[in-house]
Order: sequence, then structure tokens, then C-alpha cells
Amino acid sequence: MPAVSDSATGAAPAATARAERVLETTQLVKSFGGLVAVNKVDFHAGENEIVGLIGPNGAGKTTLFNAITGVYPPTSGDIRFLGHDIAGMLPSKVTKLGIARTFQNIRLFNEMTALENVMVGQHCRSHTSMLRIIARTPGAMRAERAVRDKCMGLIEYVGLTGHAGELAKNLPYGSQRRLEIARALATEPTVLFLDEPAAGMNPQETSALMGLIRRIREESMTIILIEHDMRVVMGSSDRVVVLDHGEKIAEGPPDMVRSDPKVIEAYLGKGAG
Amino acid sequence: MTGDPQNNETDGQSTGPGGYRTKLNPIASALVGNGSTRSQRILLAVLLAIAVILPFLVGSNRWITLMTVVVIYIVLASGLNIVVGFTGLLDLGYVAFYAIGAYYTAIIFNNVLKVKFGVDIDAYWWLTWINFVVGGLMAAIAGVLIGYPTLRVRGDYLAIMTLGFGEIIRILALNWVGLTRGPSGISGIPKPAFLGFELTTQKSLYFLGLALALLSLWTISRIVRSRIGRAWTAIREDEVAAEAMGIHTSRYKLLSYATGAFFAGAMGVFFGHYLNYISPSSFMLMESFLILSLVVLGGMGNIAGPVLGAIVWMGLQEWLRDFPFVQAHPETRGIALGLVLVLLMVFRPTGLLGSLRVRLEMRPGSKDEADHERQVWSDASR
Amino acid sequence: MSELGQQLVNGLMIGCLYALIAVGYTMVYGIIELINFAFGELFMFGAFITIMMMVPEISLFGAKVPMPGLSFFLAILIAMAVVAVMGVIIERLAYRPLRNAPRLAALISAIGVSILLQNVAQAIFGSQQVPFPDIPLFTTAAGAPKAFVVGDVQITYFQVFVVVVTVTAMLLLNLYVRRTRMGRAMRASAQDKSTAALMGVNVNKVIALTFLIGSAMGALAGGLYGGVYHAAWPLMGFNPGLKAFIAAVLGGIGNIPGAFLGGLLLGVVEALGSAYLPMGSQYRDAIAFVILILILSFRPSGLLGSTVSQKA
Repeated sequence: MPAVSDSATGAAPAATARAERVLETTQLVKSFGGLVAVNKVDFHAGENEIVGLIGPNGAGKTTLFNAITGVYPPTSGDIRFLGHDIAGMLPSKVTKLGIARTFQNIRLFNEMTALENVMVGQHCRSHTSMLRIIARTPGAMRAERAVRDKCMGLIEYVGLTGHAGELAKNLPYGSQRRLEIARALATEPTVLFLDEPAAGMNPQETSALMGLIRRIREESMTIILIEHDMRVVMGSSDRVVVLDHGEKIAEGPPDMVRSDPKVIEAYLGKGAG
Repeated sequence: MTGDPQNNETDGQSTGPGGYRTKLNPIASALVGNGSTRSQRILLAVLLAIAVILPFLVGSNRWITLMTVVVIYIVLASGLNIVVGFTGLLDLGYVAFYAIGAYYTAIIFNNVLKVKFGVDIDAYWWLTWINFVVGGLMAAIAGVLIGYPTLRVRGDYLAIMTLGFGEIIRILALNWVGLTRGPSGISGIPKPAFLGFELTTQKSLYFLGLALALLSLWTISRIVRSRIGRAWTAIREDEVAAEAMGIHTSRYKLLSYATGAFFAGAMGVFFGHYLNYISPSSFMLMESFLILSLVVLGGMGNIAGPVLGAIVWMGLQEWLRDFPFVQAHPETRGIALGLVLVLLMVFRPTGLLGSLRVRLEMRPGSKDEADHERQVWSDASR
Repeated sequence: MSELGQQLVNGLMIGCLYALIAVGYTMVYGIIELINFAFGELFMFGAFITIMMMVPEISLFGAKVPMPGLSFFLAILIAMAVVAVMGVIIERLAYRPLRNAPRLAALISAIGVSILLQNVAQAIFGSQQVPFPDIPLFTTAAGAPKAFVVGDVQITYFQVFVVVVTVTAMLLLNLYVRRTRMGRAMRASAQDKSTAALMGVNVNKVIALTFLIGSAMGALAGGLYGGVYHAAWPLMGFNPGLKAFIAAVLGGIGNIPGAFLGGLLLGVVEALGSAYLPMGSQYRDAIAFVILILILSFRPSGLLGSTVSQKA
């Protein structure tokens, strides 16, 4: 698997120039009572970048995701997204601004069909009022049709053609992961957070997923990727950030990070003796 | 599978009897055939025909009164279904909204017009019709007020909080004698009239109720089959994910309360003008439980469920009432209700209509709809 | 000021009764996160069975049936035993099958049990009030409650008895939960059921025991309540049951000392409120609900509880 990403710029930079940063956290801290889960992390992502976020279990990766996406407010520190200060913002507002996510433990709407799941993603992009909905005005119908078509398109995009009418709970695991991605894409994000999208996938599915990620990036999206599957991370990322015990311990192109002794130590523990 | 708790199976080990993943259950299939749109439409037409023709066939008023009561409960159950069935918020104080609508119209006509202004309330016949909407809006506002403190509270606490609010409203109605005349209630609410033509017969009142019910069901159906219905269902399924997908869950929860409350309030207005008298005893906590039972019995989360629940339960009650044993021992109905609830939950929590579900999209009627319906139906029943 | 004193005494006593029921709610909720609506009805059956055991004969299902006519103390112990078993059976039939079901289903089942029990009691005992016989130890020959007077405040012997029994029961329960093996198992299950199971705890047994103890406490409260108010009736349990749950929330759900504190506090606030607020006595029942709304809005973990876990 080639270590170099296939972006046009060739060798990936260790950090993105300030001006191009789409998303940036400054000295972000998140603590729960006495436990500091994220400790003064400076994290950023640039336009059209794929950033891998790795670290041993409990390093604070998902906590970082959650703090940025508004699931809980940060204890201290800044989060800036496209010029907005989004620290402590409601998740729905963060999504409306353009950040979407998938979940580590798949959180689909089980009793809704695949198509309906994806259509929920489009919710914040249309604003038909209740009265117009009751009246079924031509404008309302048009908007709904547009949403439906777009979402059908997304279902095909992620490779779930033919399964639009199935209940989410009845889909096989790999399809569910892809459905979650389709749903997140439906929110028309600028930045897409993927939390362990390859978890539980077999090698075939994983390759398909990597292809999907590449295609998504071509839509000029920024992708931030938490993954334990090193093949996926190293193969897809332009830049990798490593967390351990809530702190950033390394950052840079995949090759550099992979051979960083601090990173190796974090994963394997201090060497014997 | 995915260890979905709603399937009562974790890691492949079934932990309970029955199970949520039932095949196309016999009741639903008996009612709607193979589930295609066409057979659902035929069923609806048949039901409607029965509803319209039956009053002319039966002799006594007793049946017409029963049908009116059923019609009221159909709307109440459907309104509560929005909150409990679609949005997943266990509201145990729903009867409060019903009470607000009823008291609103009673107070306007009695206290305000008759007593305060001393006008002839018969001249204000048109106000009755306006009150349907205004009473509903009053209840909707109450829904928002009651819903607000429950936003950040988890399911069981939410239930108790809403129960508390319902009780507070009832206690207010009972004790704020200046406004509500307390336990004696308010009488003298005029019958609905139109340009001098008063609706005095049981039949005419029934048809008014039926019309309101049909209008309500039609409206609810339209609201639910849209992005609003999707938002509500998403909140029920996974609130955190719904919020993450851009749904402002607080706003939609309040909308759910308000919408459900609206229909209860409107029906409360009807109730007031139907009986011409209201008192706090019509709005006890047991009513909330009863309405909830109707929703649960019929099947939550679809449009037909509450309708069926109301028809079946009220029909059962009426049939039981004919037995002298039951007349002598009214508590048997309570025992039946309690048993039904427990047995339902343990063996068939999805209710009579089980896996029937509403397609949450705004779609114009079309031929290819039938195919999509069939696929969704068969998948849902797997 | 004597009015205040009297209200405090009355409030404290009713608070003890709330506390006894609240403990059941809090223990059950702590482990299986279910509001056992039926505790109010178990409380009611406690009262009825106590009466049954004390009177020479009672009307059951309309027919007069001879009864042992035992002393109050024996009667209440029997009531506790019987209701404890009832509680365990209810758990087994109506709640255990729903342990992995969505929360809504278990709650609705609990409501169903509550409705069922209310009506069964009505079928057995009739819908009217059944008088609670005087307890010779606490009643004068003339039929009045034995009491002593402190200043202007009258305190009956029975009220003292209620407080003493409640405090004793609380201390015993606390000891049990903190010092015994089973108590440890209960606390472990309340923290994390699946891990406790992995550690060898028989979670089903623990839950059954929780219901056993909670129901017994509820029955104890019922017998005492009947003694205080000299009557029992089928619908008597609903209000105290609800208020006891509110007391449990007030103190911090899952926290036994919290339930005790919450019960006492609620009883006192209710008594004071009904005496001193305008129209207080009519709105007495609303006080508890207002407290609930306030507590859940401003401090959902309750007075003694730890922070409620995040929804995510």
C-alpha cells in the first residue's frame, strides 16, 4: 500500500498553513470531574485534507470529536470552524454550519428505512413550514422531491443501491456503516468526522471503504478519520495526529508518524528494561 | 444481528417471550391484506362507510353516544401518539390538554360572555367554531410550557414530570373556584350552532365529531409524512444522533408536545359543547392512562394504531357493560385494563397492528407507490 | 409558633412514611432503572393485610370471612411478609421479561400492574374505606390516641412509634447494604449490572431481593399509615406512592439515605406549605409536583446523589 497520499501536492506537509485551516482547536481541554480526557490539544484540519487521528484506546480521540461537534462543551480552549467560534454550540447548529459525523458504535435510526435515515441528514437543509407541509404546496412537494432524489443519489454513492427501502436495523453490518456515512453526507458538510468507519469490516469491505473515502475527498470535503486499522489510516491520510492520554504526542505525514518513537512507545508501552 | 435492544435479543440470545420481530401479524394482514396501498385504501373506505351509515341503522341513542365517545378517543389517542408513538416522549399528563380546551371554551362562554358581559351567548354561535382552533392553540401553548422543563430530563423522569403537570392542572381546575367553579364544574355551554341551526340531536353531534376526527387524522397524517415526521421519529430512535444530524431536538420535542396538545385541546372544546357541562372529574389521571392504553393497544408509531385501539377498547368496554356481573363490579374493567397493559407489553409490545409503519415521506399518489409500499411492508415485517 | 411545631411533628411523621416507600423506589430504580409504579399499591395492600390480621372478621369479595384477630405488631409483620412475596412475583411476571425492552414498555407494564392491583383490591375489599382497628398499646380506654404534650404541640405515642420504626428500619437497611455480601452485590448491580454478573453476582436474585425488601418497606409504611389515619381504601396508595417517588428523586435516586432525607423533607415541606401558603391545604398535593419540577430542573441528581450520567 503506497504510503504517499495521492493528493496533487505530492509529499504531505506536517501542518497546514494557518490561512487554509478550516477547523482549528486551540489548547482544547475536556475534563470529566477529575479525569482530564483531552489535555490542551491543538488540532487543525485544512481544506480538502484527510487527517487521521490515532492513539491507543482511551487516548481521547472520540472525546475530541464530541467536544468539537458539540456533544459536550469543552472545559476550556477554543474551537474555530470557518471563522465561527463553535465551542459549546449545540450539535445541530454545528452540523448546520457544516460539520457532520459518524459514530463509533453506529447510531442509525433503526426503525426507519435506509432512505429515510439519509433524508434525516437533509433535514437542516430544507425549511418547509408546517402549514405548507399540511397543505402540500407545490413548493413543498418540490423541495421534498429534491431531498428524496439527492438522498437516493447518496445511497447509490455509498453502494447501497436497491436497499433504500430496507429498515436500517435489517441491514448487514458493513452496509450500516456505509449508510451512516451517506446520512452524514446528506447534511452537506464541509468537514466530515468518521469515527472508526472500518471497525468490524473484513478486508474487502475495508478496501471499498478506502475507495469511498477517497471519492468523498474528491468532492472537496475535509475528512477527519479516527481509526485503529493502520492500513486505512496510513493509506488514506495526508497527515496524521497522534493522541495519548489526552495529549497530542505527534503530528505529521503518515510515514513520519509511523516511525516516531514516541508513537511506538504509546502503543506498545515502554520497552523492557 | 446488531444487538438491537428493541428486538429483545442480545448476542443472539432471546431473553423474552414473543419478541418484537414478529412476522406479518395475522390481525394486520387480515385488515390490510398484502399491505399494498390499494388494500389500505379499500379498508379505509369501508371503515368510513360504516362510520357514516351505522348511526342511521341503529335505533337507540346509546350506540350513537358510544360512537361519539369512540370518535373523541380516536382523536385523543392519535394526538398522544404523536408525542409517545412518533417522538418517543412518555407523556402521562395528556388529559391536561383536553381539559384546557374544554375549560377554555366553557370559561369564554360562561364566565366571560354570560356573566361578565351579560350577553346572549346564543348570538355568539360563531365563536364555538373559532374556539376549536383557539382552544387547540391554548392547549398547544400549554404543551410548550409543560414540555420545556422536560427537555433535558430522561425518559422515566419525563413521564413523572408530565404526570405532575397533568395533576397540577386538575388540582387547579378543582380549586380555582373563581375561574372554574371548582368541583361543581361549568354548565350552560351552548350546543354548536350555525346561522341559527342548532346541533341538538345525538346524530348531528356525532357527525360533527366524526368530521373533526377525520380532519384531525388527515392533518396528522400529512404532518407525520414529512420532514417533521422524520425528525420526530429520529428523535425517538436516537436523540443524540438526531441532534448530530442537524435536528434541533429541543425545538422538535416542543413542537411534538404542542401538536399533540392541539388536537386534545380542540377535542376538549368539542367535548364541552357536546355535553354542555364540564367538571374536573372528567379529567382525572386515569384518563391519561386510558388514552395511553389506547395508543399502546393499537400500536404506536403509525396512524391506524390509535384508531384501532380506540375502537377495540371502547367496543370492549361497551360489550362488557352489558354483563350484569360487570355492572355490579365496575372494578373488573380496571382489572381488564391493567391485565391488557401488562400482557401487551410482555407478549406484544408493538400492539395489535404490530409492525405496520408509516412511510415518512411526502408523496403524491401514484401507481409506482404501490410497489414501494409492498417492499417496505415486507421488509418491515421481516 | 405552636402551630409550627405541630406542623413539623405531623410533617416529620408523614415524611417517615414517604421515606419508607421511597427507599423501595430508590433501590429498584438504582438497579433496573424502572419506576415501580406499583409500590403505592403494595403500600395499600400492606395496610389492608394488617387490618385483615387484626380484625375478628372481614368482608372479602362481599362475603364475611373470620380472621385471626392478632396483635398489631404481628399483623404488620405478616403483612410485610405477604406483600414482600407479592413484590417478588410482580417483578418476575411483569418486569423481568421486559428487562431488555425499551424503557417505555417497562413503564407501561408498571402502570398496568398499578391499575390492576388497585382494582383487585377494590374487588376484594370493596371500594369503601375499611376502618383500621385501634391498637390497644397506643389508644386510651376512651378510644383517643395516647399522646403527650410538649408546650402546645401534641405528639401521639403512635407518631413516635412511626419515627422510631422508620429510623430503625433505615439503619438496619443501611447496615445490610453496606456490610453484608448481598448488600455489596446489590450495590455492585446498581453500578453496573453486566460487570456484576461477570463477577459472579446472581443479578436476578439481587433484583428479586431488592423487590422483596422494597415491598416489605412499603407494606410497613402502609400498616403504619393505616394506624395513623385509621382507615384503608383501595385508592389510598396512589398519591403516597407518587410522592414517595418524588421524595426519592429529591434525595437522589439510587441513594438510600437520600430517600430517607427526601421523604422527611417532602413531608415537612408539604405540612408547612399546606399550613402557611395561601390556599395551601387545597393545593397540598401540588406541592410535591412543584418540588419535583424544581429539582429536576435545577439539580436532577438530587440532594445527595452523584452527577447523573451524560446522555451521550
